[in-house]
Amino acid sequence: MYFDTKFYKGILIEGEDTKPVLFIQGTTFSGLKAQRGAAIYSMIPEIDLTIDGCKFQGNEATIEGGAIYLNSG
Amino acid sequence: MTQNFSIQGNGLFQVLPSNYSSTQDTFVKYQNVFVKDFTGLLMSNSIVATDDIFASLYHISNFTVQNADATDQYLLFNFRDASDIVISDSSFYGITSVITFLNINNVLNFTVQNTVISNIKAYQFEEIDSLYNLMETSLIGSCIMLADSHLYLVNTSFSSLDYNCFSFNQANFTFEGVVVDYEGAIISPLPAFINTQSVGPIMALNNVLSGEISNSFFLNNNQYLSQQGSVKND
Repeated sequence: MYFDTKFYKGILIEGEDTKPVLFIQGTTFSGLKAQRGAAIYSMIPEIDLTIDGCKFQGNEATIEGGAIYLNSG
Repeated sequence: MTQNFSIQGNGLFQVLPSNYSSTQDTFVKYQNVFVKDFTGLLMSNSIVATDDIFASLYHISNFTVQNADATDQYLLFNFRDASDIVISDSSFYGITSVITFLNINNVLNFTVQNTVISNIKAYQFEEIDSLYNLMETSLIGSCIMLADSHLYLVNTSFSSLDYNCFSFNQANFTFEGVVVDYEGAIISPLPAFINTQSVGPIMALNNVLSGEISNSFFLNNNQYLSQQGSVKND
């Protein structure tokens, strides 16, 4: 497993063999900074991701995806 | 090899089986772990460690640690091929693990609840067979590494960690009331020729099957090293 830590600081989602099902509720992501996807960065185009009632506060990406970056494939 | 025992009480404890051999790669040993307010530990089968600084547990069922404090110990918990492991109402802090603090592999149900985990420094160099690889390979030491398992993390906090908190592979996880806060984390100095490393992601999920996070906080992971190898605070 390799990751350049400048890019991902919150949740990094990767893999080739699965379609992960992630449910995130009532959770705060704050003060995270990365180059892309400071809070959530998914490298998987097909992901079942549900985000409900969460707070993204004061996160920053220097390139793109200040809070969430999803790779569309 | 099967080892059955139970321990209650306080203090330093060590368990050595009758067939202990320091020349073996793996042997039953549990050393230099200080347990405070220890209300219950029941383990079946074997405890396996690779050397003095590790406490590795294999083939465990119904393992419970309550009110345990481990301070300034070199410590690694390694759980494999197990089920129904619970660590509750415990604290782990001031621990340096050369690899990973909590390594979970093929555990059906692993629960950590009402526990504080702080100031864990966990490093791992992978594939260091050349200077090139050293420069190109991440330090992926994690506080918790999870593979082929289901981790339940409840009302547990993590702070002042070095590098990423969780690395999960082919796993399921459920978080409720988890706090991960990197505020004030002290980044260990790295060799100058490693130019890309710093605190990793809070969670690195590789081929994770399912995950549920609720009522949790992921905070202040905002440090990284500059290309010159110094810590850059943004």
